[in-house]
Amino acid sequence: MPGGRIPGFLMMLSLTGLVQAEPAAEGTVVEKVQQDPGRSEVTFSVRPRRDQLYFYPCADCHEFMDSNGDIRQLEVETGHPAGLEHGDGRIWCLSCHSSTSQYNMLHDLLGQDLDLDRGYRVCAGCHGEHYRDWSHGAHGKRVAVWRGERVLFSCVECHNPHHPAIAPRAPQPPPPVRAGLEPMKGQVSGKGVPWLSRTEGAASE
Amino acid sequence: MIRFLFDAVRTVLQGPREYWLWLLFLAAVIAYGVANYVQQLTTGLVVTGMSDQVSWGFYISNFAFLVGIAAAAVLLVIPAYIFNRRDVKEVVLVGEGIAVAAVIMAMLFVVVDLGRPERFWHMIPGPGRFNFPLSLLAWDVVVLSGYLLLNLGIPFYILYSKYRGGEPSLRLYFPFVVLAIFWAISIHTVTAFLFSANPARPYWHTALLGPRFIASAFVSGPGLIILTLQVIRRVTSYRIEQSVIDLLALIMTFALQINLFFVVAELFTDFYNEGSHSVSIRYLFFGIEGFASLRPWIWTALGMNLVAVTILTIHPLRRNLVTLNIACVLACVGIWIEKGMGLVIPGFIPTPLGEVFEYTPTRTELGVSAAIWALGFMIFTLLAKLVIAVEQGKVTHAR
Amino acid sequence: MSDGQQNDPEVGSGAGGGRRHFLKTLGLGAAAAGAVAAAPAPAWGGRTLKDAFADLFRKHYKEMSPDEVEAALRRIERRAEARLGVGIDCSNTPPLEGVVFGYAINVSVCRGYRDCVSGCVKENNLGRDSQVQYIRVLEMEQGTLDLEQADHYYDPATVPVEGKYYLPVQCMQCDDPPCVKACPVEATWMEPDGVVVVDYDWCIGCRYCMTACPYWARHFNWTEPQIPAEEVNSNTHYLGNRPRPRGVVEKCHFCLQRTRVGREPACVEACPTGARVFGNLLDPDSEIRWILANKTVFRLKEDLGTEPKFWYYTD
Repeated sequence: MPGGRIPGFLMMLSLTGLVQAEPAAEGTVVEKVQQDPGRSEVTFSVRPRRDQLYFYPCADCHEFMDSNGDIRQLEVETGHPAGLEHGDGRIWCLSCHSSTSQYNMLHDLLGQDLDLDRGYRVCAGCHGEHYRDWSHGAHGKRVAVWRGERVLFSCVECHNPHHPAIAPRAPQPPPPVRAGLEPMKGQVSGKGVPWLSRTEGAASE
Repeated sequence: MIRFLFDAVRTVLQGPREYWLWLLFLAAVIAYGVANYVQQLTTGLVVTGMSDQVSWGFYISNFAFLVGIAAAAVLLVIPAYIFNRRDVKEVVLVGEGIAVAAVIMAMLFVVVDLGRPERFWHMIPGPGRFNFPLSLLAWDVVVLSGYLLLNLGIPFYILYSKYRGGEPSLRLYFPFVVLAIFWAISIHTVTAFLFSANPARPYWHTALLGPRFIASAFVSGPGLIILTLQVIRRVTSYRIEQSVIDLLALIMTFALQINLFFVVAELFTDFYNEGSHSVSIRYLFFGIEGFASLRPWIWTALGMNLVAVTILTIHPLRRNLVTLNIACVLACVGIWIEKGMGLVIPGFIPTPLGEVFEYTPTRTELGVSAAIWALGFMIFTLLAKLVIAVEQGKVTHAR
Repeated sequence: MSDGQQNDPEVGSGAGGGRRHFLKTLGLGAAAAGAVAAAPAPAWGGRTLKDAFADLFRKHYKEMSPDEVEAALRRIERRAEARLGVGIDCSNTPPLEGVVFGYAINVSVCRGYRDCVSGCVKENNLGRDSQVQYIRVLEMEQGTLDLEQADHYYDPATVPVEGKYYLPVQCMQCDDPPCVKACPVEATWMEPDGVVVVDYDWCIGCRYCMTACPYWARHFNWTEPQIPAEEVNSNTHYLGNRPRPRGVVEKCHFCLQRTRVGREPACVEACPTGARVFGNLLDPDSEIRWILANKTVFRLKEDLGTEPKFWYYTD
């Protein structure tokens, strides 16, 4: 699929001097983020996800629907998010999704439209620290290699933006003990935090 | 020289019925142990009770104890050659025989503990790579081998001279004797440093470990020698002066008192302000998290040592052979527990990551260990037979 | 099956007859000896006698010429074929220039899944039944770093458990490694790229290094590692994940077979949360360097002076 339907106004962002985006080979999106002053920029590309979205392009349906800006729970088909478990009621669908004629886009806090493959710029609007950490490698994951071309997993590879909290899951099995030996049984739990039991005892009296 | 060796072999092959029964019994134990070791060789160390958590066990426990026994031969060498005590000089070769047997046993315990014993030659500089002087284990190999050579060489020279009907030249062997004295202290200090070098194991990482090793060696060594000399008195016509036994018992008394003082020092240091360095000793004496498999052993050992030191401190009891022998047995077993399992195992419990995983030796381990002990007894028996025969003039070159 | 047992190969003994007959018998005997040496036999673990001898009488890795290393790699491949029934490739990729590896784990993000553990087991041909796992994830009490209170065997229905956090531990690749000092035969050493490696064909199995390690990172093959043939990772490295014999020590080696060709270690790739970061400490623009400069980092048991190249950080 074509690499970038990146609108021209994104180039305007480059005027800020802080961010440059450019069409990249093989459908990745390349970001350049300035690191600490005096250091070189950090450049990376982000693995695109747009191809894997089921309800895309949004325009296929929304072209024929009226735009409704009222904050509400949606009445929708199964699979299409009806509301958000994100932000505790502080945001809703159109906080991130574009409601103008550019149905297939997201938008950032400046109101500028963003391609879905640059959705991490939307997250960055509120989660600036994580965005900073992510662009430098302290958060999230890098694809396959530790040197050479730096491709990052986009935020949404791990965090579903509609309910980003990661659900608990079962762990893999505990380690075995040496072949032929039995695990230790009957362990009495350790000393715990001493002051906690003291205050609890006092509080209960 | 060849004739000496032939005569030596002939001497040890002659003996009364009890002698042969004893050797036969030892051979049976050795055979049983060899069968166990073959099983260990073919299946792997999985047949032992060791694990990643407790990666040294019964074998190394015995190794640590036996290096102490070997070092204690110096307690006969010093009075014999430095202070020229004639009574001790008569039995000094027996002591060196014990040292030889003990060193060989110690080395064998290390060999059976190796995961790839056929690769031991990797330690030989030249064909292999010897990490000397950085590795304490390399130091131990050097000092133990040297000690074995010294304790074979010096007695061999003395015996051979007597065999030839002459007197050994003091000027020739005295420097080696002095060397052997320092070397004896070094083998046990190096073995202590083997353990105390590891800050990863707070239980061992104490400057007191070296002194404790020497003190406990000077308890268990003389104890064993005293018992051995009385056995020799019983089964042979070899004359052993009571003054020798008195001297050894006195040394043992002081050493045990000092050793117990060291135990008190350890207990105070670890329990007054308990931190992470104290967890292992708490496990040993009191148990942690509900696990306390070594607790009965260490308290028994402490009890044995206390009874022994009481007997030894009271002069009449020390002079009385019956009570003295009881004290020797108690002290030897007590030190064996304290320095063997009571030293090696708690160093691994808890692991550096805080896990409590206990250890019990398996029957295979015990079988192999018994075989090594039996082999040591056998080596000593043969050496003692030869020494006594030569010293008594029963075996000479002129015949 | 005991490796390295030795029998004398048959040598023909000329019996009677003339010199020619004797020499002919000798020649036949030598040929027979060659055949015996070249034929695989159960006594040498399914390898040929020639291979068993060559393995037993070898030089230390650092003294081997490139040809000798190549021969050793081929022997390892043949041995794996005989023992596991699978063909493998064994390489000896050298360390990269200007690279010292460093590692960091984000403790705020680790959820205790243990995906790193299973990824490592598969990648590094760890014995499935033998206890050896290079990585151990500790379930820690919130509010303390006291390792005595860690639970190694946590097995709740789901993780993370309330009131706990998770601390994975593996070889710290110390820059002043106590294990390297301890080894009496120099079977373990630090490579130029900072990884502490073990030569499994040189280790004598004394386990002194295991007592010296403050992080419980070194593990012993008490028994022969068993790997199902279909799960064998055939991309191996001499100092890394090639199949190991029993009776030797092994440990995390930062997946040399991957990292020396630029790939990230298996644990980094397996972790679904992105808690693990790996890179070149000598590259000032690397992620690991940024973390060390900008995040709150700590190392385990730093007071022991081992200089681990493995950090923990928080959000």
